Amino acid sequence: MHPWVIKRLLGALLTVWASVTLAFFALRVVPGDAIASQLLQGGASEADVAARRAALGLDDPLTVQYINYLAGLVRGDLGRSLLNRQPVSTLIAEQFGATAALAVSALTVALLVGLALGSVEAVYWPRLPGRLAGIVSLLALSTPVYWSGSLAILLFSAGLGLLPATGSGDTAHLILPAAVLGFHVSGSIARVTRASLRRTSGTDFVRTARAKGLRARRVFTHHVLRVGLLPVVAVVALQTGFLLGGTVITETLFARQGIGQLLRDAILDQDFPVVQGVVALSAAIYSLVSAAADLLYGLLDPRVRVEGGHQEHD
Amino acid sequence: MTDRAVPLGILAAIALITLLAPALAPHDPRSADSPALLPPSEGHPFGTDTLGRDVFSRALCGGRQTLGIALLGTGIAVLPGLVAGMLAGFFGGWADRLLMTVMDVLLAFPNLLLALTLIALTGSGPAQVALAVGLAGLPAYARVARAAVIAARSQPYIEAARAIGARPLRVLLRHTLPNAREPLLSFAAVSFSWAVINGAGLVFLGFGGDPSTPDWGAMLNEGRAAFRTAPWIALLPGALITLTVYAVHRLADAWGEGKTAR
Repeated sequence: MHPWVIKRLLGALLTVWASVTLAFFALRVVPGDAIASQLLQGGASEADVAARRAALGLDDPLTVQYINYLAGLVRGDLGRSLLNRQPVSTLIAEQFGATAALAVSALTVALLVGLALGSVEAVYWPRLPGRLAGIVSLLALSTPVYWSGSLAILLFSAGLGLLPATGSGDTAHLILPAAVLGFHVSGSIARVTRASLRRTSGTDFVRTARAKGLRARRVFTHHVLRVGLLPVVAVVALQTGFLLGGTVITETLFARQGIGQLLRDAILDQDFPVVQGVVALSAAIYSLVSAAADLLYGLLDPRVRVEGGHQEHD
Repeated sequence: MTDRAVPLGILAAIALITLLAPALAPHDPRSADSPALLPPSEGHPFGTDTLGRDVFSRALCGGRQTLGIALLGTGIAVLPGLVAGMLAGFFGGWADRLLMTVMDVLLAFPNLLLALTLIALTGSGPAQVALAVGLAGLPAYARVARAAVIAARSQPYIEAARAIGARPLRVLLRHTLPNAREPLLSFAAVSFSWAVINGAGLVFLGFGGDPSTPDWGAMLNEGRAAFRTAPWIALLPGALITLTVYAVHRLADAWGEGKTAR
């Protein structure tokens, strides 16, 4: 393997370790946890609480807990929920499918809509279609999911009765959440697409292609698009991170099962092992996707490899 | 100039309404003295909510908390982010590397997820939401500030200032910073738009503390609960959030002119 690839993967691994460590210690600084609030409310004695804490290893010194946690993490063991003592990995695995389906379909919508809006804006600016596409993409970026989602429910569920508003399960339940979340994300993709296509249109090799007498359409599809879409790869990676956060709100709004709901409930209940498990999972996914995007970028554009694979965050 | 006039006008109008809200609101935004879930009428142009409070009055007054959280959050992101990014970008060396490593680790958490994790630490409430949203936006701002300072630092007139013997701090504050003004302002606007969306989002999720306080995010949550019977509750607060964020983005565009990625 190219040393640059190894370096990038090691960097991703280091980021995951650092995020997990940060989450571990930060969450243990907080006074109070699910055990105390739940058991004492339920009428359990102090001794019961102490016994439960001891059983979960919460009395051990912090460093011992940390080493145990890391050792478990390597084996895929994320600890147990403080509330129902279920393994966190099981809780996450149960919810993962629903969230992955939402995230992947939302990203597909975002890519299709975003690339279309961005291209129309770049090609037709400053004529009317270009300006309209610009306004739509900025509106997509500005409309929070929790509002566009409410409007979509009003129109398609309450008004027209076409789609179910809440719940999860079949494809019909996926359409509205994926469309709403995808539309919001399409805004950033459209803006990066437009900026990059415009920049590319002004470069020498595009001018050369035009000077050769190629038709405008062919110059666009064969020259401008091929180079101009490169930065979009990086944005899609960044948006994966956003999607992980965005699913929390989307799942709450549409009362869908998923990791987002799991996280929200765990935060409200102060069930820290679950919060930590979700954080570890998202840091891992996000780092891997960014690393993959960097590698892909390097594959598509050899200049990146020379410069060490660094690219700007948004 | 005209690029900025429209968004600035929108923002000024929203700020004015928010500041004058107590005088403008026809009803007390907290009192539940009307029947619940009244549809829009002359006395209640946007109806009443699940507890019988006037939606129009709550929307007018809701900007105080929503925009207050966002402003405070932006301050928490921008001021330390600016100082950290500036020092890192200007002086470089091991401090730069250390700081940027920390920021990169924080950037590995998606913005809203980082804010949620911080809420898990601090608990619910408007101040906590502002802190969470602000800290979540800090690493991105530090990175942008660093990049802006590095870009400005390499200008010939900075070298000239150094050559005539200006002290580093003077070069940074009097020569580098003014030249980096536009990207810094532009990304501060972007940070504010994130703070509005994420702050209202956290309140929407139920982390805003006292639910009787008027807040656009809290109203959207009430609207979600009653969308079948009372779809009018969510309309106005959502439109106000969107309008605010839209205007802020337009302003960021005018300042940044495509220098930032979004």
